[in-house]
Amino acid sequence: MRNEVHIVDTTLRDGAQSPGIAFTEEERLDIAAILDNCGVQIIEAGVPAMGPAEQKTILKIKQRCSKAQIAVWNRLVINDIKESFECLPDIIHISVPVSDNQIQYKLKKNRNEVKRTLQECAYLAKCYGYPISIGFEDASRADEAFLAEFMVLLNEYEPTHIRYADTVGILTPAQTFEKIRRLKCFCPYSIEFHGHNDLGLATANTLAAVQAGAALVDTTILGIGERAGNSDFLQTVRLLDGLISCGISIREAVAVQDIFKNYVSDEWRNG
Amino acid sequence: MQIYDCTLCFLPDNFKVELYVGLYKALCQLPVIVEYPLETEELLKKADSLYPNSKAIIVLPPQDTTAIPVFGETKEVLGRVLFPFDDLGIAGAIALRELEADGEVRTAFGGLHNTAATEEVLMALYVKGRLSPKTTDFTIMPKISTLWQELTGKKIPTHKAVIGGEIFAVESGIHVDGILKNPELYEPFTPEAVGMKRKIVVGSHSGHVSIREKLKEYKIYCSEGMIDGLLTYVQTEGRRLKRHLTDEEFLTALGEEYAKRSSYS
Repeated sequence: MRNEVHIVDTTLRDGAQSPGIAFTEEERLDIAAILDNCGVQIIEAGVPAMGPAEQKTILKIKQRCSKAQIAVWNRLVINDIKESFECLPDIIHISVPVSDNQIQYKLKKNRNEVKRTLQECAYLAKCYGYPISIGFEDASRADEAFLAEFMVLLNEYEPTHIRYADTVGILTPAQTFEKIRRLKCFCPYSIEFHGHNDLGLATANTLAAVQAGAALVDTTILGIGERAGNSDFLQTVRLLDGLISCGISIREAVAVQDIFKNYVSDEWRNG
Repeated sequence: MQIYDCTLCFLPDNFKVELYVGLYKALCQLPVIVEYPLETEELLKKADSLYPNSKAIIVLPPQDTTAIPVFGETKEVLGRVLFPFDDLGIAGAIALRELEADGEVRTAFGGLHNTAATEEVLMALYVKGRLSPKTTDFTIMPKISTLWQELTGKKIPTHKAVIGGEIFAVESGIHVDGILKNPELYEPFTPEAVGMKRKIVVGSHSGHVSIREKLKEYKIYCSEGMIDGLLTYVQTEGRRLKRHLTDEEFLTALGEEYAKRSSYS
């Protein structure tokens, strides 16, 4: 196991898009600032494709944060990548649906088209000099051989890391460990784990991923997110404490959560 | 592999008998052994015959504090019933690990008494194919939740895994679109499997597709102009209220939009 793991907080992206969550621009800036202060390494700040207002907010977040890297989330769409340039992010994240289910029903494409589009998107971002990270959406239901095909293809674009997303939260810790361990065998890039809490296992899966060698883990404060939410920030920090350094103390994480409670309604506050 | 559910052992004393018996019966529908305090046996007997998958217990053993598990290593079975204490928020994972090694665990519905949540552990086994879909029926869970809330006086968080009332609500445009194309895209198991229904809610993240879908639900026709108006209203209100709109609120908005349009013409 490594001696250090990075927290990627996605409260402002995956968290913010869940039902009943709505932050004002001022609140988003405050949330970014407290995350930056406490030592979160990467803040996923939003989705530029949502429009000019969103882009302006992300740009302000970028200006407000002094330590954390600001990442922006993109669909596998060329125009989305172009919108991202408006935000001057530190990392352009490109999310690639990788399960056949998602490719067929959501994208209405085939595997080859997905690979080609990814190449176009990655090329564009790299041409403009942006570091990229690649997200394998619905990876837990994808064919591993297909994931392996991406590694060769990504060689040219040198992604900073690869996100393995358990998009619908169906993994157990034992499976997570096994899948990340196997991914590590053929993935030359740092691995980031993104867990959902549908079976109440998000933080445990995050721990299992770290034990298997994941270098980055995704969280949201109070675990806010679609359905049963994401891996809870404070719980994750607590779980990693004493095991591996994530650069954030439990005391700091508690303080972050306490402040954050002001920005959400009771249903999440007491969850 | 065996799950002992000890929910009935941690209810406040002055319960309503009728609710208590109801919860007992409902829990017995799950593939677990339901443990109840010996002193309530007479009461259960009087109300109904006892279920074979239940047993009286006198005193529960203390909970096991959780050492952080190493997930890559093979797990030795404990040799007694593991009763995990949820101090790190991973009691469910610890229980599941014991079950995967063919061990025995004690859990409680809704994670009562700070232990592993029965419904989460069961659902994980179900999703993993360790429980046969033919013989497993979790549609009783909403009923258990209702009785559980009345008896404990606690509220199940709306986003609680497996039983939360809002876990199948979809609001954001991208997810509504995906769910309509194919529900499996964004759902780990069907809402029907746990006795619930999927619902599209409208709020700050809604897009045109959500509004159209909501109108279809009510079999109401609206012009594109009205849909635009409704969408703007719903998004603004959602931001202001910091939650999605209730069905009543949506219908009120619709009424106002109609009134506005007819006064123009």
